[in-house]
Amino acid sequence: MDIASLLIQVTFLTAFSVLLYIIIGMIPGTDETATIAPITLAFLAAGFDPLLVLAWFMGTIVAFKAADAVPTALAAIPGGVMAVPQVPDALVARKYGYSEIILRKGITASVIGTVVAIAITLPLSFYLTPLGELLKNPAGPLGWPGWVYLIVAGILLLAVMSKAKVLALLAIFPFAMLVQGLRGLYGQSAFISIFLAITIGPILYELLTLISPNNHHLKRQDYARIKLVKTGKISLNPLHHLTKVEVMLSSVLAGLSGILATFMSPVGLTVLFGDLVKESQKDELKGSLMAYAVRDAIKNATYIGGTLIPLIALGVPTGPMSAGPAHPFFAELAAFGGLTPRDVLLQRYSTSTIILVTVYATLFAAVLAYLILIKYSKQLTRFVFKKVPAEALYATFLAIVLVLAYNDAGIAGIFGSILVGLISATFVRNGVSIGILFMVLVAAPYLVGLLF
Amino acid sequence: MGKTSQNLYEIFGEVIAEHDFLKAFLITSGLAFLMYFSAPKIVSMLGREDLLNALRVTLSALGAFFGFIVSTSIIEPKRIVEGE
Repeated sequence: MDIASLLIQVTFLTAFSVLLYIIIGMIPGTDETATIAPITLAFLAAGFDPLLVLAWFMGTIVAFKAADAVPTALAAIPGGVMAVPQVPDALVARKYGYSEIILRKGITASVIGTVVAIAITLPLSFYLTPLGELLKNPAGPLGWPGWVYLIVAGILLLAVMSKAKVLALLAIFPFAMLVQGLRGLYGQSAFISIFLAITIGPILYELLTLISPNNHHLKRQDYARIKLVKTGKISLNPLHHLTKVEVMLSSVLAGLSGILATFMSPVGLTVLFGDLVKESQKDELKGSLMAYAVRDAIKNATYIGGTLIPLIALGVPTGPMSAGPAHPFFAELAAFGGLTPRDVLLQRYSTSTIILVTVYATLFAAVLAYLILIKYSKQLTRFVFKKVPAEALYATFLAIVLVLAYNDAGIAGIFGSILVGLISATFVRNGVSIGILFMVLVAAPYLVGLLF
Repeated sequence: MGKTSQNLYEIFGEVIAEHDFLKAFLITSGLAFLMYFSAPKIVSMLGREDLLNALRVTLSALGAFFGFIVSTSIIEPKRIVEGE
């Protein structure tokens, strides 16, 4: 495929993914992994070109991460899991009548996070490529490939940083046994059905609770009331929205987080750096405005860095992002003759083509998302809240998961997915990071091997 | 406005109605699986049996997407939006 036709396709795909994921990102309760991973996996399992799917994926993460904070600023309702830490900042801003200001600060900081992350992590990924080969060789006392030690270290690090440290540590081996046990029952190394079950687990758990007689705590008498704050006309010039200190902090922390996300949790980094910035300010409003902007920059940067460094440099999913939403690129798929989309990507395209397409798709997505959100954030939020029923959205992702689980392991795959989903949700609801479960899924054969 | 004869539940900060969810689930999964099982006939009509696996997944995702459009058009969102 020549570069011109490649870029034309990338333009259309990225524009479509930005428009779609701005809407999905604004809907409350839409988890990033549950909404991004199944569609990416469906494209790759269908054998679509991995570079085009990567362009689509970059569009989805840029748009989703920029859009999920919009309802947070306008209505104090997080559009996704990553926007939850921003709710207290948005409430402080609302108290002082600064909702519109925090809205544009967040959208602008998202673009800064995206630009800094792509500028730092993409070249770094190619620079680190020799490390990837080293990580594939068996090494150390257990004879594991090097990357397995990294992922196990990541699991332990994430576990001790979890809200429920002991439960997170206790979850590791039972969950690995569940994964390997199901694979033994299926008679094959099933991945898709188990992976998707983890992504959809929290939603599945809540939906299944509805058919339990003990669901009184979930019952409501009336519709949800959502108050949107007033906004005026917002300038398109990004330099009008952030102070010099906010630009500096957003850039530095986005760059750092983009690299750290290779092994660390995006949510953890967003909370950690955002809280540090907030605590550094004596003034409540100033601290909240700054923290909100920095968190938005970090969200985009962690998703980009957490994808690109493992994808291009290491070739193995070493962190919660690459083992989670981006994992379809590392899965051995029948559509690629048992190779991973990542292998096909690097074999089929030159380094310069990958860099060009990735940079173009990411920056195009950032500019498009910025223009749409700065100009139409309130109209879009109103449209999404008034027209898109949550029932339709949850049902759609559940249907995609069920059909892919069936395709992976038949009827048993569907029941296995329900089992894995419920157990995953039980851990997640009790404070275990979902990233731990994704990483245990990847390392399961090695972890279970220690027990026998 | 804001009342329905169905039971309402709150999950993930969203209010949903049980019958509406069941309706949406049946429509989206019904269309997804319908497209999945129709894939062999479609590829044989196209004379491209080699594309069966790819088309199965693509068509079923497309079926789920159609289901989303249909469900969105017939189900009322359970939100009341107010401007300040």
